[in-house]
Amino acid sequence: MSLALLHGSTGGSFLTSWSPDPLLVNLLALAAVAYALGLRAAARRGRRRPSRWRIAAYYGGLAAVTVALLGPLDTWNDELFFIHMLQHLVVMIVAAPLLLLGRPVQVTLQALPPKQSSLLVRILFLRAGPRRAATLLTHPLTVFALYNLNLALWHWPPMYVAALESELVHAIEHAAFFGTALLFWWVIIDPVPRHHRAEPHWQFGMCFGTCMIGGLVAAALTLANRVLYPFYLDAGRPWGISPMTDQQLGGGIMWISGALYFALMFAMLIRMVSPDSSAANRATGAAPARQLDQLRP
Amino acid sequence: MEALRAGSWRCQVTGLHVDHSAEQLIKFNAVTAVLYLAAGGLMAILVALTRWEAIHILDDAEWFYRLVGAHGTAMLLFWILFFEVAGLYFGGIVLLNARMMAPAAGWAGYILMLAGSLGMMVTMLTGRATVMFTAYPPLEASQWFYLSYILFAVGALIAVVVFLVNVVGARVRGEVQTLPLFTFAMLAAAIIALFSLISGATAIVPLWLKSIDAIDYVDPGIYRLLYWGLGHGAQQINLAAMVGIWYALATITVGAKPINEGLSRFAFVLYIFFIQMAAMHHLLVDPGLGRWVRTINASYFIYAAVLGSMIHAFTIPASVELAQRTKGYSRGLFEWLKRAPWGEPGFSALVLSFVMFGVMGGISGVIIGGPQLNMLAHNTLTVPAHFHMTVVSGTTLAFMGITYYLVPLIFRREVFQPKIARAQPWVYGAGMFIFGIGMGFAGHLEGVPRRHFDIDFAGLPMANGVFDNARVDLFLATMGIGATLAFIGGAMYVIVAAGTVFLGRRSEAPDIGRVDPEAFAVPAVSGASGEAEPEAHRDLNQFEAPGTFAIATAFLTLFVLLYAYSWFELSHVSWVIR
Amino acid sequence: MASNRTGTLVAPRGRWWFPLGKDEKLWFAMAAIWAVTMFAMIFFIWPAVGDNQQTFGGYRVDEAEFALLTQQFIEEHGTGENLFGVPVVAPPPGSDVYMLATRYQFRPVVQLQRGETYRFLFSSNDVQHGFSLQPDNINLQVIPGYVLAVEMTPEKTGEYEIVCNEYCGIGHHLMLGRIRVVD
Repeated sequence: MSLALLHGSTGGSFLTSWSPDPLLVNLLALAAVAYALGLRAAARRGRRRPSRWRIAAYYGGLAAVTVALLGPLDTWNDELFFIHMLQHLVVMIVAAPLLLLGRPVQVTLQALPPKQSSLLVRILFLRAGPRRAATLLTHPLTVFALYNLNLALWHWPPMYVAALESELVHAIEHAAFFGTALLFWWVIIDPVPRHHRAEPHWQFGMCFGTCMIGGLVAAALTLANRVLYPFYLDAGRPWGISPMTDQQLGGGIMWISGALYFALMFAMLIRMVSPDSSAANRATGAAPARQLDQLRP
Repeated sequence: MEALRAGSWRCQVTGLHVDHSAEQLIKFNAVTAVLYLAAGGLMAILVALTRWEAIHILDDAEWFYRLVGAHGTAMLLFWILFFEVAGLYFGGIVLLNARMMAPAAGWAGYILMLAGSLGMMVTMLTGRATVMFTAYPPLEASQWFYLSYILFAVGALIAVVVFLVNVVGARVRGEVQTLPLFTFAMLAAAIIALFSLISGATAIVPLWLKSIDAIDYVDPGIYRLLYWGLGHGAQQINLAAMVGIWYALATITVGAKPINEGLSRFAFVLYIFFIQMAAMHHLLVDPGLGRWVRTINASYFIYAAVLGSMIHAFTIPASVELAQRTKGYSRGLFEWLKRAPWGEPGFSALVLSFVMFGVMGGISGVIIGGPQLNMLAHNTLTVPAHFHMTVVSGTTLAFMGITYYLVPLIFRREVFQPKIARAQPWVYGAGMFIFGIGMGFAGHLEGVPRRHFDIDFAGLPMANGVFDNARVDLFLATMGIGATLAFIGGAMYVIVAAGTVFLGRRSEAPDIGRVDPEAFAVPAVSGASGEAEPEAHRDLNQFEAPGTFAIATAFLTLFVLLYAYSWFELSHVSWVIR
Repeated sequence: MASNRTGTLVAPRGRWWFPLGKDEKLWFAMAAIWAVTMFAMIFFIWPAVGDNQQTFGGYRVDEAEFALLTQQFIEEHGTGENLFGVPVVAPPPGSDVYMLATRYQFRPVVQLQRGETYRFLFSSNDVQHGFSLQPDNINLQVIPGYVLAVEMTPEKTGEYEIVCNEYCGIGHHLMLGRIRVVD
């Protein structure tokens, strides 16, 4: 991520340019190992493991984070705007939902011995204070506002350039993107069944509104008559892409990524009316919920 | 209600008491409307085939311009307004089971409208008023043209007032409490008509005074402002009436009941309050308006009205979906739609009108109504493409659909050639769809001007072949083919409508297809709603009308895409303009 | 809740104003969000980043005076050349460009330099006309008695056609103009 280093990096091959940040490497390794251990512990306790595709989703999510934050996307993000855009999108709309689909919280709870697990549940879900805070934080409006304000804020030119110029600000930017994305997908994906999941009407509205706000940011980037982030004017220009084209490419990618939200809305509707959907919901949702109930003191 | 009233007869299909004066007025207005539609259609095909450069059927520019103006006037003013007046009397008197008040005024209004319309047609077709539908000064027309215009407007104003008097009268006499939604829509249309016609009068009267040399200058910029109060306001009359007819058709054909009565009415109120200010989007590239007026009118006020349309765009299909699901067609997202009565002309007309109005007319209208994007559209074929999708594919097709029910009932005759009636909305709709695609692309992608006799510019060297390319040829040919198909569909309509009126077998209870038994009457058992209560079992977390939501979301997706693409186009203009 | 629904052709009985259901609320919210989005595009985003704005304005003018000013403009900056019988004018960058729409031509033919900004003054001395710049498809309204003042900067060289797209009389379809942009 160091500027001097990066500007020299264009000579290297795109796919082989990795920059292993020690802290991130350790965190990712920890997340991978902890999940595996959790699965084993849960199996030993005779708890139902998450289905295979969920496990795959979790590791896929970790892989996505790795590629985005340690791999070529990170190495090249201050050379090319569109690479930076891709990096953010991978973190926010690929990695975050995949990780949550792996139901990491549930695995953690199941892996712990009943006493600790029940203590944790009591603290996190049953105490009035944390519960109220969690309810407020996971209210669809809160989630929507945090996610989108954060998104718009970091695309404001002074903020965006600040992130490019300071490694610390850049790390904060990525953490903010990742954090708000986790929150957003948390209320959509139902990570701990029947907890904090927004009801369908709210989910629908959130998806639509997010698509609109992202669309406005993307429109500004794509349609602008000038380079909005002058930082890229001075950056090296791999592949001979002009700064304008680069910016339009990035904006276009962001704009097209909005299709995801529309796809989600249609998926929600189809799932809702499919004949076995309510039964399926009950099968997957009710059992773990009951487990939580049993943990209640 | 009570026993047979004097001066009325009881309809055996609907149970409504039909007042004789109202019946006669409805008949005369409706027949006049259809005759103007036939005349306007003949002119339409000549104009369209002239604009199809490969055919260019009219050689004479003079005649082309005369016909463009006369076609617009016959359709936009006469066909639509005469039909709407018939609709006003139907909604404000017949549906309320009321006796007609002030029938003499109704006849005076009709005669003025007829005289005015004939005067306008004659002056326009004889070349004494080749000033187009808009009659922008300083273009000059014969004083008789302006006078006829004023007569027509006064006649329409009288009809509107007669309607208002009747509705208020029925309310005061206690014959009706809350108005039926259809009548409420007509009331909204009438209120919009009031201020549209007054705005129009302030625009046209000075032109008439100038034509008789009573004054010597009419400010063209201010005329445009006042004129569009009528020119666009009149389209909002159509809009409100058309939406009312959509609701009526949904009720007649599938027994739809508004998903939320209050919301539907609120949407009509939005029309009344905001649509008139939105008329200023005709002046977005005029020198007269300041930036703020442009922006505020083209954003805040137009969107408040657009919101009204978006509400209807949801509540109408949602009402149909609910009615169908209640009947048991509730599998999946779309079984309710698959099992809808597609063969009924009322239903097919409803769906085609609804979809083309919303998708083609509505989206294009909102896009070109924005201040910056308007620069890409003003006075190109995009503009007539837009309003043909609203007023023709939307309003006209809806009017055609309701004809198949109201004309047999009012005239007490069997539908003439019901098979033609069943096919008619499809033929007409397909024609207008093709027409709209061709015209819209020619205008939007190629910038082909509207109201233009010859985009080859008679081979002038200065033209430099600006529209001489295969794309323009293709789009205009598409437009011509669509127009021809729509002309056939229109002729089918005139055959059925006129055939029913003049040749249809007399019948006290004409067969108007599968009509919902509760459409016209409140069920006999008071207190009971007559509707099963599926709501009680519904999971409150689920959507009530998921199919409609899927359709509406698809519509919004398309809207967003087209909107985004338009900005993309504007960003690619190779001139900086400030 | 809403079981008291009635059809659209009969008067609703009793109470007909029900609270909005979830579906209606959501759709209303989505429609409103979309309206706000379009507003933001028109009002904030495009003015901040776009090239083609609507900040132009106008003022009243005497028709004869404008025709006279156009004639003076042609005499002052004329190149002496005539294109299709219309005088060609090459105004200096940054200057005012008088463009008179008159039945049935746009006077004069203007030769501009790429990347330079000119202040176009459009008016008419007879009836209303439409200024339609092709093939870029920029359309403006020209009204006698008013000047429309627009700052325009060409970004590409070439020959641009001006087509009249407001009906102005029997020769409407023969009315043309030309702008030439050179380096």
